[in-house]
Amino acid sequence: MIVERNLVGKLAKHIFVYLLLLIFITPFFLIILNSFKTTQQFVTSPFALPASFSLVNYANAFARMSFLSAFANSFIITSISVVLIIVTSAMTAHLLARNSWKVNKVVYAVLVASMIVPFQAVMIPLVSIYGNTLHLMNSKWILIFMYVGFGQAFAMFIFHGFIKGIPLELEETAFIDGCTKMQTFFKVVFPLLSPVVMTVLVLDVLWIWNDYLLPALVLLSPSMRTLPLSTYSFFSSYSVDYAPLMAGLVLTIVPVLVVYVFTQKQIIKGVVQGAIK
Amino acid sequence: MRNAKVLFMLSVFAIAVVQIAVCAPKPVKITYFNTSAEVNQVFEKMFAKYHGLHPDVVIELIPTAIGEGQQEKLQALYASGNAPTCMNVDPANVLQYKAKLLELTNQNAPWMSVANEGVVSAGTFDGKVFGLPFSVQGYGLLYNKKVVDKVYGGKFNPATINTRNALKAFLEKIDAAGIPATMLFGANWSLGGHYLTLTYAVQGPKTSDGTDYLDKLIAGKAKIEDSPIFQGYMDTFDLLAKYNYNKSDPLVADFNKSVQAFGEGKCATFFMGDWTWTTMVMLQNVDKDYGFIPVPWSNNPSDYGNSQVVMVLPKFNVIDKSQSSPEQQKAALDFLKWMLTERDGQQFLLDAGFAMPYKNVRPDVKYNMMTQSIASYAKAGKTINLGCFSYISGDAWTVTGNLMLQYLAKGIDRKQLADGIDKYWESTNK
Amino acid sequence: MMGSNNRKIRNIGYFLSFAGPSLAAFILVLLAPFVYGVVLTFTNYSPLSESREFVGLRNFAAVFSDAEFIRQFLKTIVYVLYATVLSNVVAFLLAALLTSGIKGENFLRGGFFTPNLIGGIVLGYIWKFIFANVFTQIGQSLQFRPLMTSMLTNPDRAILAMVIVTVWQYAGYLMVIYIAGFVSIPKEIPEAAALDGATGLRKVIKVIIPLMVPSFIICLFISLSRGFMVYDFNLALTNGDPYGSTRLAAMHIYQKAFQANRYATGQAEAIVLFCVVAAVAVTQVVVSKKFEVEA
Repeated sequence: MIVERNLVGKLAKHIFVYLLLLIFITPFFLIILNSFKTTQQFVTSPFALPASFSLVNYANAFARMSFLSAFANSFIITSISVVLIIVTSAMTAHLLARNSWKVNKVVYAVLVASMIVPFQAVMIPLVSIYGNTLHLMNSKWILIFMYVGFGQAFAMFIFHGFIKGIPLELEETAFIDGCTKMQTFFKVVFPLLSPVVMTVLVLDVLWIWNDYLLPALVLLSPSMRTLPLSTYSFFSSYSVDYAPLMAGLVLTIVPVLVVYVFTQKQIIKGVVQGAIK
Repeated sequence: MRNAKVLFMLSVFAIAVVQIAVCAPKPVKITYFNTSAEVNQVFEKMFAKYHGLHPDVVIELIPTAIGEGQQEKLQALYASGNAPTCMNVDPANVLQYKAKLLELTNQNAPWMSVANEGVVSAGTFDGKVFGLPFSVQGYGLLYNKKVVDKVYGGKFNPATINTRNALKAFLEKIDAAGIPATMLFGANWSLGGHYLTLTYAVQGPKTSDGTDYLDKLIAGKAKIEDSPIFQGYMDTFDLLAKYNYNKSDPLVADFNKSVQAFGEGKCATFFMGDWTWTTMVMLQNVDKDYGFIPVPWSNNPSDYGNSQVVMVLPKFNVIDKSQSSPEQQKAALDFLKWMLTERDGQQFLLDAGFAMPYKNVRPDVKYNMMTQSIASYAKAGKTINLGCFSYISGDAWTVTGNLMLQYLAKGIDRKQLADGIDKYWESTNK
Repeated sequence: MMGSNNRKIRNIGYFLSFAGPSLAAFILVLLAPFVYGVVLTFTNYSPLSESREFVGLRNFAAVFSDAEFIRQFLKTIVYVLYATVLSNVVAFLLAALLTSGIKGENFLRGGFFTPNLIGGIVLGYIWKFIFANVFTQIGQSLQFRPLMTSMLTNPDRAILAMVIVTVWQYAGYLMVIYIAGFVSIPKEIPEAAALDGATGLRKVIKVIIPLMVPSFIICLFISLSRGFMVYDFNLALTNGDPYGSTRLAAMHIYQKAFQANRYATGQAEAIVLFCVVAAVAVTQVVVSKKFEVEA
């Protein structure tokens, strides 16, 4: 009897979740399906199957977006920024979580509060300082520096919460064994944070990879454009050229999907290792 | 000894290289800020061609985001010390940035004289010429010739529509044939920027007639509901709304969809401009013959506005002088001369379907039907001067357009619409 | 004496080496421009005029006399409440389901997260198309009144549309954080609780939820702050339509600053928005930290 009920419950759970997934995925299904049609066909009958799976939209998007160059730019900017953000903010989070100094409380509060600053409150002062005063615009490195600055608060916030969940004894043991604070951090704490690191990684990669406004303000030359900037040509004053836009979208999403799948695997691996320990 | 010789040769070589590098002419780089997003690619091709002709000049395109992003992008560029050298912007922006723009004179831009009559004065603000347009566009009531001719059983004569009664009869006849007679586009720029502006522009044929009226509204000295022109246009609006193809859901503003419906003959007329062609030309299985009819506001055929369509110079090319060097300014002037008045340059925009208001445009250009219709009205001298449009800046058509949309959706009545418009203009009184 | 000075120097070294780089970037990129921005709100600065005359509190007075700002701000609050509650509930349930041993968990986790792969602007345009075309087609074939016209043409239903899209996107995002939280609970704890006799719902409430508090703090904070600052998908999905009714706070500020050329007023509104949201969010974090349990 109990076995039956469990089985029915399990089945119901599975059906519910997969049905929900289907609904969630529908917009993507639309995007992929319509990347093989023309804009006119998309507007008239979005759910119709394409006449053929021709790659003409993809070729079109690839060329109009200068895909390779945009991809390279996005890749460099995203990967370097994310690595820097994770390392620096994890260290800060650790310092703030393990020491209840007065200054730490202030720093924590300021960082957390900064997450609510609307971007346009900072936008013009930011470009005015870096552009007008320092003449530092139009460079990947300045953009990366800005991402590191903007990304601190959120990453630190997440790390801070999870560091509290790591038993202090582990660090104390390492300290007694003669490790410096840095060594303790990188050898003991950081590995234990791996599910969280992967989480922050994927969230920050997504943010930076898809970000439009900041690169639009900082990167002015066409050769420096990132992927989101390069989709500009599909939007005109009154209408949207959906067909190549869909194809361009798919091209933009695939790399990030790969990152997501990879990090999910790592998160699982990290958990399994943690369980074994 | 041998080492010394090698060192000597290397130094000579190094000096030679440095000399060559220093003496080689450095390319002048200018940037071009384009707000007409649909022609970004045309500009890129144009710049490549120009660079081929003038290898010492490099032009970079600064494309813009959609809609409101344009204003903020431009202001951010100025704030960051990266103002574009050359810009293609709305006339309202020309006014706004006036103090930073280079004045075009007969000394630095003698080729201005090639422009059609009225073009240079349209780009003149406070007595100084700041910019020139690359296109002239028009709007009114677009009609699908095939659909209308079928209903009339032969060729329909657009000149017969010069009073509201005539328009009413026209719409009723089409409606009786089972076809939605017209289509209104539910966007604030169409109803507020294009339709409502007719009220100001038709106050009189001179630009100052329109701006004087606006000044009165701003100062609170006039109320728009007292204007018979306003009431007239709104009566016509009610008429158009009655036969609106989008009637069941008038605020859905999907341009792709509306143009497609119009092209497929699903409705007979469309209140829009000749730029519709750039979207229509991308579609397959759509009709190709179109023309314009005026939007009459009264029943007196000789009233200004009843037998005319609007011709407008929508964008101006201007040059920044506040953050650019004299070389850059010269390069920008030369480029504009090429783009606007020389055959090679003009070809790009002509191919893109634009009508260029310059006297030396090659006479064998075949314009699309919509632009041809506007051109024929212009030739007959039957156009409405929309000069006051240049002086309407800021969020005017967003706010008044939103009021028009509410009126269209029957959310407010005409008195509330008029009061809202008055309130907006008075709020801009500094 | 010597000892405590040494300690101080060592601590400063510790602080600088751990937090130095990150705080340097933060201060130079966010804090300094923000402070500069606040200073500017006391002037009549505009990117066009570059004048910087001190005008005192005039800009802030303008904020409070901007009736539309206040109206849209209240609307934003309504939107944020619905969006936050719904997305967190859905996200939590999904995370719970997807860490309970369902077949194909990894695939499902990937699947629900995919809405986050597209950026705000494109997301808005695609959904706009869906609401205007797909939903209406469904509504018309099922003769279902509320869906026969586009949800985006009615002020209230347009806000609902925004909530729907927000939940669609953020459920997966927040789910990822909740999953990290579930997965970080050492297996021993639920097992120990089960041994102690706590099962089912009891186990959930007394054991799991307290350990999930860090995740709640983070997720609530994210949904609240992102909700208040919603801009790019607001722009793409509704563009403030119908007739400006869905022009939520951040979008109103942008429009005021750049389109209406009242840059200083817009900047002041941004500061006000920040203060209010900061108050809300910091309160939320401080209150919920009281529930935090250290492992």
